[in-house]
Amino acid sequence: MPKTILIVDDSALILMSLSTTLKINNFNVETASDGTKALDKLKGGLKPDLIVTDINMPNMGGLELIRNIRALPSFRFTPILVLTTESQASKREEAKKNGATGWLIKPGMSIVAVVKQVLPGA
Amino acid sequence: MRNGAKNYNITDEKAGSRLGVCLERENGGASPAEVGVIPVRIWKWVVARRSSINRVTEDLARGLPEVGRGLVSLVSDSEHDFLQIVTAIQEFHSQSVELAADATKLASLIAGGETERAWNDLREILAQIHAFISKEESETQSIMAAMERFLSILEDMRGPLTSFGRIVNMLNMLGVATRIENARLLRDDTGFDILSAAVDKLAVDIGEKTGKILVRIGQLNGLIRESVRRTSSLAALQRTQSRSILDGVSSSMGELEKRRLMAGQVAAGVSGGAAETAKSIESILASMQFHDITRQQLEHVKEALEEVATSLRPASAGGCEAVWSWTSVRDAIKLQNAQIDHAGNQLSLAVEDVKTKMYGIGDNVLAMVERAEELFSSGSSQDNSFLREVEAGVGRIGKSLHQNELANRDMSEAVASVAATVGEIAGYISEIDRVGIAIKYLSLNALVQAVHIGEDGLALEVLSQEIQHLSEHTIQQIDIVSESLKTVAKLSGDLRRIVDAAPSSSGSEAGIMEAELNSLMVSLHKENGDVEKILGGIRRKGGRFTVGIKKCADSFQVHRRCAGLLEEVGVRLASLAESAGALAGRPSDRERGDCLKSLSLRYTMEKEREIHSKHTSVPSTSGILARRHTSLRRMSPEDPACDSVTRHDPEVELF
Repeated sequence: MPKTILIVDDSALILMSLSTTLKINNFNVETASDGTKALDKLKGGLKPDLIVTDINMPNMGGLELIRNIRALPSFRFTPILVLTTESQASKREEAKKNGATGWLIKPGMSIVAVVKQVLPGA
Repeated sequence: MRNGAKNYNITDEKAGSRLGVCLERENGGASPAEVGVIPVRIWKWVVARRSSINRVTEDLARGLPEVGRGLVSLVSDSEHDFLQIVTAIQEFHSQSVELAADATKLASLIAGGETERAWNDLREILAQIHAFISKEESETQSIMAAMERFLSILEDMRGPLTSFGRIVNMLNMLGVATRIENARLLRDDTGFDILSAAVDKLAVDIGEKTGKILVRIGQLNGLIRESVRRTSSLAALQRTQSRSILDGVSSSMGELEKRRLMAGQVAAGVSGGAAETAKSIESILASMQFHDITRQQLEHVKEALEEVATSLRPASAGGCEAVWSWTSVRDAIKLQNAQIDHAGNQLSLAVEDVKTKMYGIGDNVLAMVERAEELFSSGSSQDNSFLREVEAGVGRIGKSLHQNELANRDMSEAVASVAATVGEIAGYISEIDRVGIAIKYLSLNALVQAVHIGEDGLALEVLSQEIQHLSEHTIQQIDIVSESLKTVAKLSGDLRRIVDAAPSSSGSEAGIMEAELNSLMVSLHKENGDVEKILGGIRRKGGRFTVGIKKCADSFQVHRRCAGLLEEVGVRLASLAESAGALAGRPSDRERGDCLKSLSLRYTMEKEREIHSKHTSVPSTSGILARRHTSLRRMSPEDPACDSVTRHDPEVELF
């Protein structure tokens, strides 16, 4: 059974290229263009095995999204990877504090390997 | 407003003989010490500078946000091109998956159990035919040897049969002498007239019968010689034909196997190429994300330019000098210009890298297609001709086996004829034998009569004894011929059994082998047709893929359009920087250094530059791919060193 990954990014290009990469590697992919839409999907019943989110997005950024996701009991242990161009240590620390599982710098050449490491058996 | 900066209202005023301007504090309450009179030329300079500041401020306030908006629009427009490429890449990936599936199908068809079995069966049947032909050859040789033995025995029989001529002469002579002697005695009760008549009859019989036997032996000799000649030439022909057919079939099969191996290599190549293509596609997809990095870089530039623009104030309200030093304004613009230039260059490199990878994929697939093409256009047609050759060979083998059957029938008839003739000869011999035995007893009786007659019967006694000896000699000669005939009869019986058995067994064996071969040929034809179909598909799909990806790479020119637009932006920013620079003072080196450092921290995205540089400064695509593959191998989750992804990759951190 393929694992499902939710990708959250305001860039259509990132969503499309990352989706394709993950689909090539036999993952199911869902996408959201900002934190609010991602949260709506999760509250609407989507149960991804992993969430990959950007930091800087309109409406709701990645750090706030992580905090909100962790507040939902069903997603307390769902792995969340941050994929961003941000390199500030403070933001990285904040992501960690909010409950992120890992931090990847774009363009995330190692994303598939990292996803497979985070989701054993995928 | 900077600390310590002072703004003044300026009013014209006559002061003595000097024309000057009085400077008062803007907020009134000027202290006498701060109010002064300056020379008119300086005042004019101040007015001109104020006008310049206002003009430049206005230009920058309008121009910098315009440039920023232009950048955002450029990024937004170019994203569409990148999205189109990603869409195309998705399609190419689907096509490469299809190609890989075809290759797998081809490989399994070629190396699959059913095909392998068919080929093994074909090899086995050909080996059986080889063995069958060898057996036939050996049997033919046995028959030929037996025939030769026939001829030899028949030749041996000529000796005793020829000696019958002398016996006949002597019998004739003895018969005449007996009749004369009997007539001289003038007695008709001695039985010598019967003896002489029997001797005459025996002479006639032996003469007639041996004549017939010799004729028959001559005929038999001719028949056997003809049969041997036919069989021998047919066997030689069969041997040559069968061997040549089998050699031809074996050689065709060898060529077919070579083709199969080549098709297998194509399949492996296609499969490997498809896997490599999939990896390259992943790498391209990752590279496409550079657009997003460039977007963020240019958005930062836009924000920086807007911040500079909003910080500017007209001179009447204090002017730029009070808020920014014009040196800083110039440097900030130059810095953004440098960033734009860098972003443009890096985007160009990233796009060129993507294009190179796409061309690389196209080349890989093209090489694979050319190989399939080679096999398809020449190979598969050769395969067909080879198959036809094998098929024709199989047909010829069948025909040859049928010829063999006819030859066997021919031989069977010859042997039957030999048997019949031998029977006939045996009849003649038996008749001579019977008469010989009768004479033996008649002569014995005549001898007794001759003894009774006494002195006068002495000559008849001698004749009777001679007749008795001759009849015994005849019987002996007949025994010799009979022995030979027995051998011939036994030999012909054995031969008959061999020959009679041969046509049916070879016919049925040949029929079975031919039927099996034909059935296998049907399977091989089907397999060849399927291989041809898949190879054709690979060639067609691969060709479409290659043309498509190269066309797509050719059309991917967004970086050139961006570079052109960014160059225009650069020229405009350079002009704006120059305007600001014209108003700039000359700060000390230390002040300048501090200022640049502060601007750099505030207005550049160091990380984006690092990412760009790291991924686009690799000299060749093969280098990128090699590094990528090594990296991927290292990062396989099955790999015990998998967690090294997080340990060694500075771009990845798992908390």
